[in-house]
Amino acid sequence: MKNTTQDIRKLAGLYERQPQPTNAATELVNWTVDKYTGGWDSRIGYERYNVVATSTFTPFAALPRIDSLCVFNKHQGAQQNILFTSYGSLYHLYEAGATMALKVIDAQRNIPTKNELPTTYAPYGQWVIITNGYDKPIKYMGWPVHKSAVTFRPPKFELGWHTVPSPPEPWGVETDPTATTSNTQAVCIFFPSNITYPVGLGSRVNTEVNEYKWRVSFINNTGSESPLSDASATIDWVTANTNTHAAYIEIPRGPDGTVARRLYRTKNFSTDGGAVPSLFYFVKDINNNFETSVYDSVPDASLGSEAPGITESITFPATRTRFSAVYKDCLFIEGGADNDTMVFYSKPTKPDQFTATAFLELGNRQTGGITGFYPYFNFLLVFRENGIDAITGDFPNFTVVPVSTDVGTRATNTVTNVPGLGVLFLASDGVYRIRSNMEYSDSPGIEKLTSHITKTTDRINPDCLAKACAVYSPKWNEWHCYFPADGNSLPTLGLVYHAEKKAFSLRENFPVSCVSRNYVGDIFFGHNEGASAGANEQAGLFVLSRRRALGESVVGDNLVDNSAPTSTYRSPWHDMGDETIKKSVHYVYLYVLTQGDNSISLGYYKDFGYTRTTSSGKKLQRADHLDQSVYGTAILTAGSMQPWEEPFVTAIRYPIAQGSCSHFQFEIETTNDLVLVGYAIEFTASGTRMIQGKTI
Amino acid sequence: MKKWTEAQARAANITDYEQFNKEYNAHKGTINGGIDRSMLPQDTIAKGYVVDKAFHKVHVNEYNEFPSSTSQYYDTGSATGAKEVRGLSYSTYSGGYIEILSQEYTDLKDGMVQIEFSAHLKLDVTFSVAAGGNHNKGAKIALEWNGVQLLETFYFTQPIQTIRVTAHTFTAGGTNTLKVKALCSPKGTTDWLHKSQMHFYNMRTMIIGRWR
Repeated sequence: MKNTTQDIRKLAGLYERQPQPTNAATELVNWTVDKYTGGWDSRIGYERYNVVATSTFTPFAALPRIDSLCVFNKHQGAQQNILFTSYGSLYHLYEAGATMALKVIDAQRNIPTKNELPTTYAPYGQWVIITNGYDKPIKYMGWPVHKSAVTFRPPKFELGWHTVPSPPEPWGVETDPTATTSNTQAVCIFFPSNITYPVGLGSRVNTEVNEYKWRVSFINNTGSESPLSDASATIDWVTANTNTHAAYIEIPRGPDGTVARRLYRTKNFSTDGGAVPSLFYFVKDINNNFETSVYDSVPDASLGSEAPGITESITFPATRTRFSAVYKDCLFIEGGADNDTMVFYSKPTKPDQFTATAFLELGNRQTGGITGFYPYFNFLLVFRENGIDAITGDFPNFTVVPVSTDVGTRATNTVTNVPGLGVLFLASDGVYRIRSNMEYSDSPGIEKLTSHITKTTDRINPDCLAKACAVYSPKWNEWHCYFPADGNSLPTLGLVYHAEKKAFSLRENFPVSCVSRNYVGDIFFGHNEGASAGANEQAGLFVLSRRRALGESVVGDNLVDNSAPTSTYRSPWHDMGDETIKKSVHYVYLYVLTQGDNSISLGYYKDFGYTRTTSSGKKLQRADHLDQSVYGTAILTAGSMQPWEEPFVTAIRYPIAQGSCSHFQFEIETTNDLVLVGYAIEFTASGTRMIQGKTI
Repeated sequence: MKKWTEAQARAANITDYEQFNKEYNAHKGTINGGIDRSMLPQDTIAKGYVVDKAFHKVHVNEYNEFPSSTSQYYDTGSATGAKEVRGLSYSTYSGGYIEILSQEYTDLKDGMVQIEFSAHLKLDVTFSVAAGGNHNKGAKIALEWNGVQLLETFYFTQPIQTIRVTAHTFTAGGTNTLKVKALCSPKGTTDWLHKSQMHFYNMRTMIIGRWR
């Protein structure tokens, strides 16, 4: 009887529904896409970030779980700042020293509970804004920091203004230059009337009364202006000898990060002067945060523009904000866990300066509190527990519109833009995407991408969804999402979207707690257990790479590679076109790239059964040719290309012996290197139909 | 940029040159192109390793006076009285900006350049006070970098003073030209025709080019 071959050349991704497409995979764990063949490539793993360390996981050796991670690039990646939190401390990975070291930026910080979002980071120009919902938000510049030889002083500053400047204290004006008064709180600096250009405060008309008040504000290193101080006490004097005067004013120093003080003053509001006592005008900037006093000799006619209103800058409105984002040059923050439907936004380019009216109340408790922001096209997406809103418009006239009242997420760290796909995020029931520009596209919308892998997404622990994290890597062309599964509180399972194949696969045994990437697309992750598992256990930062190992272990005085991750490919259940007819499968041909003498064995099943039959292992060499050279035995031939080899596409035949079946499935489970391009199944359909169903 | 494993040669695998090249590329690239602060331990590169003028370049040039005795603006008929200066007069100057010096730089790279010009300026302000506002005398300075005017000062009005003007601009590599121009108030009805009106002593330019 003539055999028939079912040929599967283009392998697709994980598909857990029945019936399955013939090129799908029932199980697909620990694979990436081979860029030359489009097949599945097992050559992945992870290794420690600090490749220089040889015997311990220095400088991370003592660190427990890494809760959050941010790779903050400047200067096209030449200045890479890695920030992370672990057990209540915020660290800067200091790589400029002779040896890599950890520097504490902030200690005694809140340690997130098992279902709480860890610290979040939002780059804003040269700053990164760091928030965790408990501690005061931080803005951090990353660089410059002092050398390790001296006290480490990170460029860390509080975000926003937390205090109002105390009012300036003007000294009185003494009009008699010969006075030898014991009053030390008055000075006499006068400008006689033969100085013809305008200078000095007060009237030149003798006996007229002069009255002045001052306010002061701070300017910080983002150019943001603090709230105005209260008005100072009024000073007054009566003009004598037609002199005008300079006033001596004590001014407060600002908090760390203040670069200047700005002085405002009334015009002469005495009965003689006639100005309005509540109107203040710009006098001058004091361009330091050091001097404690200033002389004011600016005449009324030379004052600058009117002082900003008291609503133009307020104290920081949400000290317990959990996350922030940059949109239209404004820093958006949410109100914190106890005010979680409120959004505040700063003045454009001034992340510390919030006006009194710059907030949006999102309302609608049904969709729950805000859980994250993400700028997308001309919108700022606002993720909520059960919905998504979008903020549109320009400062100061932002408005909010609902996008979805059904789908939302608490997995803030999974919201990622994937080129060509849209914004991906993990909800409690799977992965969704927001596609197209909602403003211009004719097909915008929210779409679930994982309806076909619900066996996997059902494993999500929705209570700890906030711990999930994701990143897109242009280098791997993959979206990696790690989430707590099977009731765990930390990410235990990875879901990888392969943009090239538009397919999902799983990552297992990658101990990811948080994930980020550098500017070229290397994926970094923080270990989800670290030193908590014991001394010499893997701790700190790791990198997903082609290292064929699941990290390293300390053995004696050395770090040695762990075993490679096990990659599993399980084919779909093949019915060869008609499940009612019994088939006898003779061979499975794997189309692979030759890899050498490491063998791959094949297991197979029939009719959805559990019993696995395993074929003998076959090495990945062409069956009817001489073997290619392999490491360990290859001999270098001078003057020739020997021993270099190229991987060939070849078919490896595995015999199958399981009798007849309606459905057939095979499985590969290996820690060896394998590029699976496709496969074929050779079978004979005998014409025998399945027997009648059973009766009771 | 630090590199992690791009391909790993495992025992008994074929001697795959493509995989070898990937790892080789990553390693060599780290050495050749990836020198950043995460790769270089502190103090690895001392000043001695840096080629001269690698980061910046300073030029200081001195030019004596303007106008010199060979300048077209030099009035040989001026300064007839005792202790007077001979130089530019209203018989040689009829107004507008005139070039008082030009300097070419051939060794600059792309980057920022700071330009400074300093000189002592003598002006004849005899009639500024007595003859009414339209006889006020002053001189302005303008700096041009490759023909683009970077700055124009206000009027300098004192009879003799030290002036220093600075500008900061982006510059391209290659040949760049700095020109300093000056303008003097035009002749008033009472002004002398043959008295030195505007004279620059000890002219000096300095440029600091900074590039990365």
